[in-house]
Amino acid sequence: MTRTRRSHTTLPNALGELELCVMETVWKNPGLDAKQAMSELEPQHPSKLSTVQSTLERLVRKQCLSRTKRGHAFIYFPEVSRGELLGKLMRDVIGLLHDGSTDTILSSFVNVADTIDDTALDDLQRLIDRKRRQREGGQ
Amino acid sequence: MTDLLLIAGSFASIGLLLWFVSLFLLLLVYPLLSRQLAKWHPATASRLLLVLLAIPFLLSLSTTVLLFLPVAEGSLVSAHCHDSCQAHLPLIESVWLGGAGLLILFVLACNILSKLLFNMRTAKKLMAHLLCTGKDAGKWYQLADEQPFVFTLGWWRNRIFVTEGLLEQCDDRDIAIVLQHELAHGQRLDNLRLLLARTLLSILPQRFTHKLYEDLHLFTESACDFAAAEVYGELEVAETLLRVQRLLPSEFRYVDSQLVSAFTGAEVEQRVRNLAAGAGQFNEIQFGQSICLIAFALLSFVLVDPMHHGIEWLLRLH
Repeated sequence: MTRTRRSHTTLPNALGELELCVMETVWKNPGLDAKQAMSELEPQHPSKLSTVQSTLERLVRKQCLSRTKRGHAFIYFPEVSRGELLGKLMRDVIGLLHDGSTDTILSSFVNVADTIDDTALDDLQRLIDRKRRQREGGQ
Repeated sequence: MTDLLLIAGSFASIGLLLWFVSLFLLLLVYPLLSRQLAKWHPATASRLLLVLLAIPFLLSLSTTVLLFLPVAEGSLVSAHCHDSCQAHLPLIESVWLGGAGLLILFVLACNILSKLLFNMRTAKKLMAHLLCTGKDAGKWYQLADEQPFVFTLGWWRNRIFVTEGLLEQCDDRDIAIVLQHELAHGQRLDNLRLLLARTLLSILPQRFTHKLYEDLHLFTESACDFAAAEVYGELEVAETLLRVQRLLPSEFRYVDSQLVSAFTGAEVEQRVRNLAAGAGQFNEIQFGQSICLIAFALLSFVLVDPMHHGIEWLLRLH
């Protein structure tokens, strides 16, 4: 039986903080190996080589990165663009908005869970037009 | 040890019972209050409703504290005496009942805390992702996604995110209106207000309290609509609302109602109707009414006295 962590069920396409930083590094410099990725991360996220290596491998398993062997080391390339990752994440967010789990952290301009059809929207548009005519007539 | 358990158990049982009962009473009288609230400006109504939701919790907390710390009870509880006039302690004599009170408090606290942590973790994760993948455009962040979407994320240091899909499909005036609405959410700390409301209602299952929460959500959204309307006009904001609603892909709009637990009503419809009727439809709170409201809030603490004696009667202390 496989155990599913709760974070994966809420935002299945979200990455951890270090994973995100590693992705950022690979997006900027495709073709990095683990040592180069570690030195790129150094100023803001100092991490051990083994941590960076396991993070890179996790991202390969999540199909966010691909790897090729060069000499003794693997070099990594992005498999998803920022836009693709964002698109998946936005679908997760909209899913969360539908089930009401994010209503206390996120306010959207229109309610994606609102069940309103085109006929009702047309009726409301006619109401606005009528009010506008009334106001213009009153001036 | 047993004494400590009895005192803690009594405190928990009495506090929870009072909170449960007073919130339940609020639910019973709310249909009368909601009509009055809807007559006021949404910004005022949202503030008043939040205060109203806080009253059962504050009332039960102060009654329970006064039962266990009778030093300050003279101000809110009429003078009375137990048996040989010793300082009273309303102990629940049964260890099982006290234990049950503590257990319920523990479960409730864990439930509130786990939801809070879940929301904090989700917000932090989302914020990190969106800041990393988004482009800083001054007052908002632009997201390279084709779905038309705009939202404010976070409690204290909230940020506005707008997708390129929305920017491409709306004209400059619509975008300005949408941003003004979102800025109002940020200034009013609306996400934090909604979190507070959820916590204050947590003693009862959501199916009983959804009307209170939905009304608060509607007042909050309407308040931001009118904040935008002050700059751009009510009918313009209403039209933008309809245009953005129409942009939502049909799979978002026609959802299985079983999946929608939070907001099943046509909230947009009510917001557009409010805007079309104009801010003039709402009663301004007059000075006399403000005094009455403050007096009502203070007078609700008069209930501490009957609640105090009711609990004592219940515990057969007299």
